Amino acid sequence: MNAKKMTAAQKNEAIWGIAFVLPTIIGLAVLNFYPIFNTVWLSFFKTGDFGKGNTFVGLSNYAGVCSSGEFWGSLFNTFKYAIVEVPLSLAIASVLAVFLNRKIHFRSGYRTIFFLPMVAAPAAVAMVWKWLYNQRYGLLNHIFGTDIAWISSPSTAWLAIGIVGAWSIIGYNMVLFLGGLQEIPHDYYEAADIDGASGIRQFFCITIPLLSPTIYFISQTRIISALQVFDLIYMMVDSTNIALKSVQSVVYVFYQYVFTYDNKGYGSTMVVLLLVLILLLTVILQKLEKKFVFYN
Amino acid sequence: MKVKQMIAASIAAAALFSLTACGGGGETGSGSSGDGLEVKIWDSTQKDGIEQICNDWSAQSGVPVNVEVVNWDSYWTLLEAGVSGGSMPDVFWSHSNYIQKYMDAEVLLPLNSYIDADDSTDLNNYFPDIVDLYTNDAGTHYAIPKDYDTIALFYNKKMFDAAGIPYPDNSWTWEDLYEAGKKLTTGDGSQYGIAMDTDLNQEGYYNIIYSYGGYVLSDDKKTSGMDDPKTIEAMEMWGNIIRDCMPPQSMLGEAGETDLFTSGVTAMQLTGSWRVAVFQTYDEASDWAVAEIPYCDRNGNGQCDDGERVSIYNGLGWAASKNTGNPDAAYSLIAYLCSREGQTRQAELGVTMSAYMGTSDAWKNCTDLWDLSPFLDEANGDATLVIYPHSRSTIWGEDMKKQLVPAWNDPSTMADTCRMVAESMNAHLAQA
Amino acid sequence: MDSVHTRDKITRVVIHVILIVMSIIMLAPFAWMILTAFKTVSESTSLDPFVIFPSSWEFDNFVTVWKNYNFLILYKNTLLMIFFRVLCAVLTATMAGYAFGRLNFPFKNALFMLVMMQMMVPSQIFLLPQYLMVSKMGMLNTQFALVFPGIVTAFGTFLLKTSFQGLPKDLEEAAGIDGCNIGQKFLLIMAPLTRSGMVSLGIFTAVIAFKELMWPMIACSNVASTSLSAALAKLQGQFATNYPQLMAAALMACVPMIVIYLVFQKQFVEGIATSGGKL
Repeated sequence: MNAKKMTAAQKNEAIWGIAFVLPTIIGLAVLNFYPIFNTVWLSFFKTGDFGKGNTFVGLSNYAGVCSSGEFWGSLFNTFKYAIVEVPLSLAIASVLAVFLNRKIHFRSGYRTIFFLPMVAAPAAVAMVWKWLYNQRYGLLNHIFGTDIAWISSPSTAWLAIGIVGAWSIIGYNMVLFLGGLQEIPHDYYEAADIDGASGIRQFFCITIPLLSPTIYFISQTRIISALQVFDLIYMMVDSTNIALKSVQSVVYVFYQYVFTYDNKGYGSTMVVLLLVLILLLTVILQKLEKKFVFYN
Repeated sequence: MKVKQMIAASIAAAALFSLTACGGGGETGSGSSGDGLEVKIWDSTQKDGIEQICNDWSAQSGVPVNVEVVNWDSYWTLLEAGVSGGSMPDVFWSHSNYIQKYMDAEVLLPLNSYIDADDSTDLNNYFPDIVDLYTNDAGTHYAIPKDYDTIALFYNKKMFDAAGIPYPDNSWTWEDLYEAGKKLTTGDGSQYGIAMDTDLNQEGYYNIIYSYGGYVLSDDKKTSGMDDPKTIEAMEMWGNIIRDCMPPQSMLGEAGETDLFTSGVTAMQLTGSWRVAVFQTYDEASDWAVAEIPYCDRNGNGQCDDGERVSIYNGLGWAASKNTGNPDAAYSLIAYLCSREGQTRQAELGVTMSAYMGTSDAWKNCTDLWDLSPFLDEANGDATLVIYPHSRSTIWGEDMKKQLVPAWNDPSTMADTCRMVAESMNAHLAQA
Repeated sequence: MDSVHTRDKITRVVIHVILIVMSIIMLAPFAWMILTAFKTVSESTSLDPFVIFPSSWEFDNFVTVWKNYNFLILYKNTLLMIFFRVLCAVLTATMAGYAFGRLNFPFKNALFMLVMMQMMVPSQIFLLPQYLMVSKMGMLNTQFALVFPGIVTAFGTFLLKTSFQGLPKDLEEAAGIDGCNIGQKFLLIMAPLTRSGMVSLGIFTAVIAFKELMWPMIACSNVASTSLSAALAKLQGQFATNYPQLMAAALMACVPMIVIYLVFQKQFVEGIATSGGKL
């Protein structure tokens, strides 16, 4: 678009257009784009106290992070969390959405209840689950008559935390699924009814394929946000918990280095690697989309 | 719909109201505003006492003082923010873990000229180790010692009676603690001898390491002593205590040691003198008593010789911000808090033991629940006081707390774990 | 016909049973939070017999927590943070959304690419530089610090752009004849038509701001200047294992948002559903 060839009306429109996007663009530049470069920049430095006296160390932070078991361990933990949270919440949410898509009594009441955890602060959610999971006094061990150290044993903690993550997000996923379900034309089911197909058969032969774009979209966003898990782990697992090593996520370790150990360069390196990983994953997931998704 | 609109309107109104009421947002930042002094500390149990002493000073000087408590973690984030953001409290506590960093950054008020001009302040009156903590290599003093602390053994008399075990006394070695702890551990999960998690280093394993003749950090602060054979011997003994006298690591992590002791699940607790003020507030307090920390009979002569009983000690210092609006008043307040009078008051009020030597006897009388003399006797020759191991970098200490967790879970791996800790600690020390 | 009818009935019962079980699972933690908040410490840790209901419904725990942590200030901080974030986000995003959706201007596509790119980046990467900026400004522990990262929103811009694009074409042309300039057209005709998009963005922004933990924790480490979420994290550090008090605090932190949600639930659910997956 060449400014000289614009008519007066086009020019006018261009000025308004620029003026309208300017606050957002300046804001994004200051709040998001500068920070990306700044973080990458910091990852090449050993940061000094109080932000003064940074020394350039080249790639040594990257060498340090990549050769540390801690980073790879935390990455593995993050995936472990995602593997519990994402499929569990998606499976339950899709079933609930299918139920609530029917005309049944108390439908909106159920929806209200399932969505409730979404509006609770994660800090509060983590606290109450930590209490439920308490080995000695927790409700869960009393109900089941067990003596399991749910969040204080490396073999169960990742599962326990993943369950809390799924519990928190089920309502949200369900609402997104409901949106997708409402777009499926009703005559498909009517035709199936006439053929005498059972509800379960309908679910697998009609609902799942037609819902697959929604399923894929939700899975993709859920996986990526699960990789950024922090709140639950920070709140539920104390620093002397024996399970910490097997549940601490990449973001948790990043937080520790940057804000507790005051090793900002090293921490920045971790989050830069996380960025690269997430971008890679995004690209791969988009590529895979064509294979798995059924488009009408 | 009516209800919703009303709620929406009232939320907006409330937001607008609070906005105008505080003129653009509640700026609760600290700083030397006006002519008063802003004082920050991290221990809420000391607040009342410190406030009283500050008020005494205000009455003399006419300068108002505002004492605020911020818990430990936030305290250092807050100070750090104050340094980079330019507004620190005027007068505040300092700690051995962090002081090096603040001294190097030259953000604290150098006190030498004030001390030289002030006849009533003489740094020879304080524990030399603590004075040293707050003095840089060039001899500049950045804080005056506020207090010191020692470690003693709290025990639950009722539980000892029930088990038919004589109370701990000065003759106890670490083996005695182990034997008693083992007997007090019932094995059904309802009662244990003692509970000390990995984050209690000053109250816990640092003491046994030094009493066995080991060390945590070399004097030149360059190498770790965690792989020293004597350190490992001590930690293996500690491992025995963990195995046979302590609750499983999972329970330790979820319950918290002091809660276990105060609720009668554990019978003993190695406790820093700074906790005495909190312990007094429990209903069960009268069931407890205090003994000196156990020793290690290294030469096997059956008595406690020099260096065999060790209490790690540490002391806070009162420091001021370099940018305080009123440095004379800030120094004057610090000097008062650390004067013989201020330090005696601090002990009398039961705040803590005082760093001014000879002023802490009054602290013993702050409660009649227990005889607190073991804490003081340790400082008066019964024990060797070893200053809390510290260096410019604090990471190794935090790392050690985490790295030791697996050894708490499985004490048979203690020696290997200690060697691993030493390795990563040396790496940290080489970097700093 | 009759067997189909009974089969249908059985299906309904089964569905209700499943839904009720799920409801219990979703509600139980909240119920346990309330029950624990009214207990004494010894009730909460009694093993034999196991106590489900507190012996008396007293507000001691709430009073203690309220006194220790000034909840009035926390409510105010959180409310103001949400208010300003929603205001800024809706304002900037509506303007930008309109420009991207309905106007032509140089570099439009390139600039919109930037907006889309921001949405693909994990937000932790902004955290440290944002903290350093606020710190350099000397604004840590202020209301401004709480609002700061939420002044603009890439996601909101995207959302509002879609809303504006969904409006019929001839609207503007009709208005153009009446002699409105673009600003007037936007303000008087177009913006009001995307009200539902704005409400969605507002609710979405409010919920995100309310739930945020890491930013308020680092930018406002002072208890008096932080948000409810971050204050809970600090509280856990202080009250460690006094669960009745922790639960009282958690309840006080959650109740306002839950009440607002129950009143506006239709808008909440729809708002968040239309705003898609980015939470």
